[in-house]
Amino acid sequence: MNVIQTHDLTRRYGATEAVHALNLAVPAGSVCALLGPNGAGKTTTLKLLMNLLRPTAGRAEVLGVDTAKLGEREFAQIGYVSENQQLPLWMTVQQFLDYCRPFYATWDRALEQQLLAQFQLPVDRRLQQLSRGMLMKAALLASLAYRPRLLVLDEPFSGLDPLVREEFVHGLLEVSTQGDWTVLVSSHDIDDVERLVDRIAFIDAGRLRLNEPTEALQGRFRRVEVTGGSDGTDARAAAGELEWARSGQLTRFVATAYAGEASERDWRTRFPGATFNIQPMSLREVFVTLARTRATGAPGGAA
Amino acid sequence: MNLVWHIIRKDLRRLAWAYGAWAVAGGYLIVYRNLNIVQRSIWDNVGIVALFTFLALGIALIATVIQEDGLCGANEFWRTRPIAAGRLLTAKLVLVLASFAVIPMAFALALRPGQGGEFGAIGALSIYVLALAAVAACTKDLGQFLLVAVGCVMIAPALGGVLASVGPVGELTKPEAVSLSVTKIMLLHGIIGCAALGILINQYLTRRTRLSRWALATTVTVVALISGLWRWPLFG
Repeated sequence: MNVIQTHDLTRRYGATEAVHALNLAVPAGSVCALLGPNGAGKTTTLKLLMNLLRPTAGRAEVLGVDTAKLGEREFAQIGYVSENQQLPLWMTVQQFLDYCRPFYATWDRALEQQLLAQFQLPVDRRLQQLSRGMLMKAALLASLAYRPRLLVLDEPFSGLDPLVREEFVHGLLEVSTQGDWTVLVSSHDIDDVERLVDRIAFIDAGRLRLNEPTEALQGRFRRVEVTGGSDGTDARAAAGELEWARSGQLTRFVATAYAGEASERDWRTRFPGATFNIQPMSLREVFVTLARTRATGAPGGAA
Repeated sequence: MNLVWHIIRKDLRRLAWAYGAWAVAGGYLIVYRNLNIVQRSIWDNVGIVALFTFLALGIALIATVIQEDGLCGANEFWRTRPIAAGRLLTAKLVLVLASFAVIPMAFALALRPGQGGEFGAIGALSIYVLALAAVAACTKDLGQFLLVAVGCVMIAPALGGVLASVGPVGELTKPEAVSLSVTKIMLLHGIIGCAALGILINQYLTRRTRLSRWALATTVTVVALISGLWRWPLFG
């Protein structure tokens, strides 16, 4: 079952199309990263999912309910943390938690206390006096203490220094072991979320480029170096090959549809007598390749 | 209902100091105007300051109560929490109407009993409070609220005056003129009250801000048309 499902979701701001015919599915229990460069449409997508914005066309379902009809019952099961959210900054951390608590029947006081200790939040300090990292932790705490079924994090790491970012990720990793929830986290940097996620959706210019488990993604991406095997005059990038470059006897490309022995057999046919160096890629390398390919408009087929 | 009180308590805590200052100014005005226990010659200036503070702070408080949980942006905290829009609207209406219409008027009338028209006065004040709340619900912050509110208050009578001067002029007897005046007052209060309530409900339940702003502009226009062109006495 998909906790999030969009159907040709589109949002325009005047002539600008921020999100275009997005068909995103996030299965229950997964931790999905919504990745993309700045301005790709991540925040707009999340706001559409939270019914903070209305779609220009298409629709979305969250927890099986059309987002236009999200109400008290659904929001009691959703945690949303965003860098842009206007928190009641005049409240102390304790007042903030005291204010949020009565709205949730499932609020877990023991978990609240545990997270308070874990995040080392000063309960008597006003939110406006907290550092950005602390503020995000307070918002996260107020979104975790009721054990939501769905946690949506919009650029939670943006602007955090590396130490605080590490603490934040560590905190998320720890609490993620305590509940059976689905997480959708947006970021423009794969490093932030690499350790957290088991699924990646890549969005660029409002269009969803890929959406699949990290394992499958890493399984089908390979950096390939081919030495010899062709004089280069008739060498061309095949479908699904990105960053294709040839220099003398050396051909380099990124294969996006690596299928083990079958792919290698195909390459041996295209490059007879060549030697191959086939390396798996990290998620960061995959992300950078995709972002760079889209930015330069380079050919290479769909990823 | 508990959650409605929970929201009201939050707003009162947030605005405790402003409410305190407003209550002190109001308290002074009640004493000054009704009990005559203060020598007016000494306290005239203080009375003017108190009146200004009471009005200005009251209007600002109405706007702040509404905008504390804003309706015009896409980043408001409450919108991703299990806070039903109807519940929030109830909390806000209870707070602003009780604070700025019912309680002050009840105090004022309690100190001057037997004047008559108590319910009418509370009703009229409630309509003004609702109108200010409606403007606050369509605006993002206090600055924008003041700009729009002052604009509405100035445009409606000015436009009405212009229309009256170019509209048809009829001969009215004195009783007819009085009746027309009462008719206009009743109509204008009715229209402003209904429009304010409609805008508030639309903003909270559907958050179609553009529609609300159109309704606000239409209301100002209708108010100007009625005050300038209406010539038919309906009430005596």
